[in-house]
Amino acid sequence: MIIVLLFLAVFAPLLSSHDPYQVNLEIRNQPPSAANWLGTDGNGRDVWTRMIYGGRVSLSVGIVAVSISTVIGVLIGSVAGFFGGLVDMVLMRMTDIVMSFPMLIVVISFVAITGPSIYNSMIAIGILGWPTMARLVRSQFLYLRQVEFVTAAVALGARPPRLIFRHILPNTVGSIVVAVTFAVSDAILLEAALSFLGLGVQVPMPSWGNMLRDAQTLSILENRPWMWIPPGLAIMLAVLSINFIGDGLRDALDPRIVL
Amino acid sequence: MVSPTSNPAAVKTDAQGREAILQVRNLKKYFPILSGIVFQRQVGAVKAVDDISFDVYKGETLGLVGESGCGKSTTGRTILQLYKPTSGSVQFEGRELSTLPNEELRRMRKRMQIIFQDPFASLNPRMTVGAIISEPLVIHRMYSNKREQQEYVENLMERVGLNPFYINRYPHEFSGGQRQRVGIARALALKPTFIVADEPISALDVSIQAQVINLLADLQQELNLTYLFIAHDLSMVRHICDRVAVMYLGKIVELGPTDEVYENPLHPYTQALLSAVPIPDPMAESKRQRIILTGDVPSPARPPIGCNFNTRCPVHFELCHHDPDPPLLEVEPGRWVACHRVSEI
Repeated sequence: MIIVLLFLAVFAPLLSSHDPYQVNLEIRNQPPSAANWLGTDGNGRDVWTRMIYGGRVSLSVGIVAVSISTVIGVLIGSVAGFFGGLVDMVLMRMTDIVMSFPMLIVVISFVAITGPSIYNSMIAIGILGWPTMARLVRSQFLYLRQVEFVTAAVALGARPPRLIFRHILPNTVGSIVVAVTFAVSDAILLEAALSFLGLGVQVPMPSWGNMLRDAQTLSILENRPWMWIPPGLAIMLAVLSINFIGDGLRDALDPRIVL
Repeated sequence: MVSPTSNPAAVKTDAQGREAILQVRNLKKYFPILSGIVFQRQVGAVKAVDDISFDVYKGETLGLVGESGCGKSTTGRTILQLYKPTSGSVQFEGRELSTLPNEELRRMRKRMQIIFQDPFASLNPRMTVGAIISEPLVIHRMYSNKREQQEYVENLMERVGLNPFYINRYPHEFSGGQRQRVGIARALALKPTFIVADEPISALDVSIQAQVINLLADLQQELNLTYLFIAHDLSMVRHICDRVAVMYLGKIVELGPTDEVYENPLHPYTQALLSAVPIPDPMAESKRQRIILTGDVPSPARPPIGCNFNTRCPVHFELCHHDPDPPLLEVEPGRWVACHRVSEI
């Protein structure tokens, strides 16, 4: 399913003859037809085209934001978990502080200060999402640090980088991948929420969130479902399929489980 | 009979003139008990290893026995500096390990290795058997040529009874006994002189135990290895150890040649421990008198005052309940016992 969505997003220009920014006031609010597969919106833009172009935006915000937060989170979590003691305490209190911010409000303030745009949404979601990852990685490190095969590596004379990258980190990959996929779906939802509030991706650039925003009047909700069902469904399917991928990857990456 | 003047530190060679490869003196390992969430302070200590001294001679197998939780494994790991000792000294091949800088300690690890108890936990599940066995070679840059390294690993696998064909398999594809062989191959890869075998057979099936023990014995002969063999299987210890040290609550209570200790145990704890071993002879077995100890082992966080064994000892008297606890003394050549009443027993 996510492959279909990614495929649509990547090959968007090939899959639609329309321009997502082309306003055509003659065909406003048209229901689905042969020319406009999912109808048109209030400005006469093709909904199908905007949806697959919006997928590019929403998915890339999700992926970039989570890449940022995963890099920060894994780094901080590994250092805290491996070295322990004072380092651990300082880093974890920092994590607690970031974690205690109500995420949506901070993201909104950040975007309000820096100005709403697709890149600022990525950065805002990315730099606030790392504490969960850091906690997870740290707890895995604390556990794996005292596992016997790590002690064995110490007994062989391995230095810390080898212990971290060869022995501990590979064994945390399963949980990290699962957490990443959940974080991607969270980020997509958060982007949708931001865009819906008008603080994320700005029109005319389409995203699933701002398509929903454009469709929030009662008459559209009641009479023109082709404007809001497709982006809503796309968000749902993306989140759902990414979560399934997480489960699949966890099993595939574990050599103990034979598929 | 008791000769309180003889100090273990003075002994460098044993009766047969073998040199001591490892000298442990007054080794202590206390694990702090912390309390408080943000500002932790130490409220006590678990005395896992409490002031023990012994020598291990080149080419011998020294057994270290005692019940669960008495500090056997901690002793083994503290000797190898996997735990930092609280105090005391460990001299290996004449060099003091506890104060050695990290880099030099890393180099010393080529000479001393450990085999772990649990062959399921001691192998990284994400590395192939080949990668596990060659890891020590990579760490110490023993081979620059990949093919030579692979050849060496394959030979090693063959030597420990593994089919080199399985070099690219993962540990979970092997049985417990085979995994333990992987652990042994890894420990041998650097051609060490001294190996701590930390209960290497207690996690294995009985039928596999004998195979692994025989493998260890063969390797010892072939490579002139010295073992510190940690175990709680007393018959196995008798089978393969030259000397045996009995631990109770972080201390060595008796140390001597295996046969002598088994024939004529001097410490009341050793007597009780050995009386629990079945004898493979129905006539003798029916006459076996078990000495049943009452009560539990005291917590190593709060050991009793005086002799550690006084709460369960069948022959304890006044003196046993006062500090200091009985020192480990050489009562006959090569036989060490820590008991106030040893001359009466």
